[in-house]
Order: sequence, then structure tokens, then C-alpha cells
Amino acid sequence: MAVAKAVSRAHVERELATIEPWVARHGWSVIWDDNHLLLLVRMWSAVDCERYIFEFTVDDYRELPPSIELVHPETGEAETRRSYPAGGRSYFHGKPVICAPWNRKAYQAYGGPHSDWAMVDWVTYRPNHSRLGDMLVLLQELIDDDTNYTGRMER
Amino acid sequence: MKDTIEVTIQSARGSTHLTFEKTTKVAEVIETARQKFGFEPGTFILRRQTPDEVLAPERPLVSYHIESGETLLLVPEMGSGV
Repeated sequence: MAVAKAVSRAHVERELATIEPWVARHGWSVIWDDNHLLLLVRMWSAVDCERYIFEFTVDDYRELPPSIELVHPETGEAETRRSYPAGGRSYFHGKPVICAPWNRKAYQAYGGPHSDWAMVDWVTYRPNHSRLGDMLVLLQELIDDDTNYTGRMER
Repeated sequence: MKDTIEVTIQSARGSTHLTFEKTTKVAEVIETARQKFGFEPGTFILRRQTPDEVLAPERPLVSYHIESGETLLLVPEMGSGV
């Protein structure tokens, strides 16, 4: 069920076209590598000014959800607790992984905790968080949420 | 004095300019914008930027003294991870 690269690219570029006001409002740094279908977005937490880099791999998008990882802004390490925020209303799972149906890595087939979800239905589980802009705005809200966000998962 | 307010509503899915009666309740503004942006029914937050405050669905726009031309932000409720 591979999605042609040009199709995934078109989906991503259409969805990113609407986020410019949010980029400006929150000072996001957005790098879109259309050749490798890789999207990097650096955000700041309004709570403690920590920087987080979210790496979206979007091959086969939107047949599959993006594969989302965090990269530490100083060491460059990925997939470690040091690269993740903590709290986040249980979205930031201690594995560590972003635990949401819009993240490919949350599914057991990709090493995540969920064997109970069918990836083919990913859009229908949380339809209002099923576009890249929706996900990015939510991630910013989660790291700005001083009632739940508690800083970097591990130092 | 005009009885309507023009606002720009921004969401992650774009921006739209809408005009409402001043007495329109925030809930109705949210519903109109939700449909415009193609979100599914659910719980949404409508936020004013200056001052930074969440608008209560049951209150009318006029009660916030919103100026014509203001930009409001619409976001789906965060929900929780699963």
C-alpha cells in the first residue's frame, strides 16, 4: 500500500500551507525536506522555555499516520527520555513515545504500546487531530499547559 | 453603532473572516467556525489573544467587548493520550 512520494508530499504541503500564523505566533522553526519526506519543527515551551524538536517522517502519508520522534536540541539524540517532554495529559508516554493514534510509533507493529488500534483507521480515531497542523498546534498546547507539563522527561 | 462584529478566526486549518451579531453566543461562533474549517463535531476552545483568555461558550460576544477586526483562535480540545 505504498503511497507515491509525490502524493505524500502534496498532502504535507497542503496541510502546512495553513499554519503560518501559528509559526509566527509561537516562533516555530520549520524545516521541510521534501526529498526525504521529513518535517522538523522546533518549538518552545511557554512554561519553562525548553526547546523541543519534533521530527515527522511522512512516507506513505496519509495512508499511514506520520512517524513522530523527538530529537534533543543540544545532543541530537532521539528516542530517549531526555529528548521528550513529560506530562502532556498522557500523550507523552514514558516508553518514550507520543501515545496517540496520529503517531505511527504508538502502534505495536512499530514498537508502540497499542495492539488495539487498526492503523488503517487512524484518521477516524481523533479526526480533529488528523492533519499535520492539528497535531503541531496540539503539541504546542501540551508543552504550554502549566497544569500538566512538567518539563523534560529526564535530564 | 453597528450591531455586528467582524472577526478573523484562525485555526490550524486556516483563517476565515466572519461577521456576527454582537449578541451571538460564543458557542454559536465556535459552531460556525468549526463547520467552516471542516472539523468534526466535538469540544472546541475559542481564545482571545489580548487579553489572553478563553471565551465561555454561554456568553455573548458583546460581553467581552471584542473589537471589530480582532483575531480569535479556534482549537479542538486537547483531550488526552491513550
